[in-house]
Amino acid sequence: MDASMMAGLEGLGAEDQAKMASMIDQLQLRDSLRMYNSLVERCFVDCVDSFTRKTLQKQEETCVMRCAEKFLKHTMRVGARFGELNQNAPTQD
Amino acid sequence: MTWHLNPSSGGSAVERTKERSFVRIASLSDIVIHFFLLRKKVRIFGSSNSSTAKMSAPSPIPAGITKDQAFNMAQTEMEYRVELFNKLAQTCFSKCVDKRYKESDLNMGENSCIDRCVSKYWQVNGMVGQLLSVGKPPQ
Repeated sequence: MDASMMAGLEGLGAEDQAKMASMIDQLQLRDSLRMYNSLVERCFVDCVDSFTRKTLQKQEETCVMRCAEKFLKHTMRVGARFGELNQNAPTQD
Repeated sequence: MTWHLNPSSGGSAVERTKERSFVRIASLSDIVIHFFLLRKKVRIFGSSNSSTAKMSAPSPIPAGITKDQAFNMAQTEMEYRVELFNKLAQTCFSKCVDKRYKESDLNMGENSCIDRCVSKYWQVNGMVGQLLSVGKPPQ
């Protein structure tokens, strides 16, 4: 994953390479955190409805686990399709 | 901005984010970014080779654009791609996945729905892009 990314940076000067690499790192980090937050919000909104207790009930826990798993699998699938579309139509925009 | 990674377990959000499955999520932006680098490098940094990873010596940047400007453009486009991907993923999840979460895997119907949703979203993206570019005055 990292190797294929860095391979695209060959041919730039060393300084440019470092700059691009650090930009990519920052983007990745920001994106991961954003996804973390949105996933938590989504699963909470979908799964937790009652506030009679302070702690999560069993069914809410299971629901959240499934929600998170499903979303992650979904995102992976979308990523694969997105990559394919990008490959096929580079002049889309 | 610096992130302080807490070595003990259950540390900051950054620490948690770098564990397990979120590394997988990070890999998705790699797809976007890798594609972008292959494409944009041709136009912005003037390299002659667009599709293979092997690069020859760097060529000069096209006239009229400073290196800084080129870098900023690259960054902006990257951010745009990442946001596009995020919105796409969220929208298709809302449209296609049953909110009752009966199981942790995606079933057949959801899989095809996701594929079609991505394809349609992409088409809409293209259409809107064309409409916007036609409306703009020439630069």
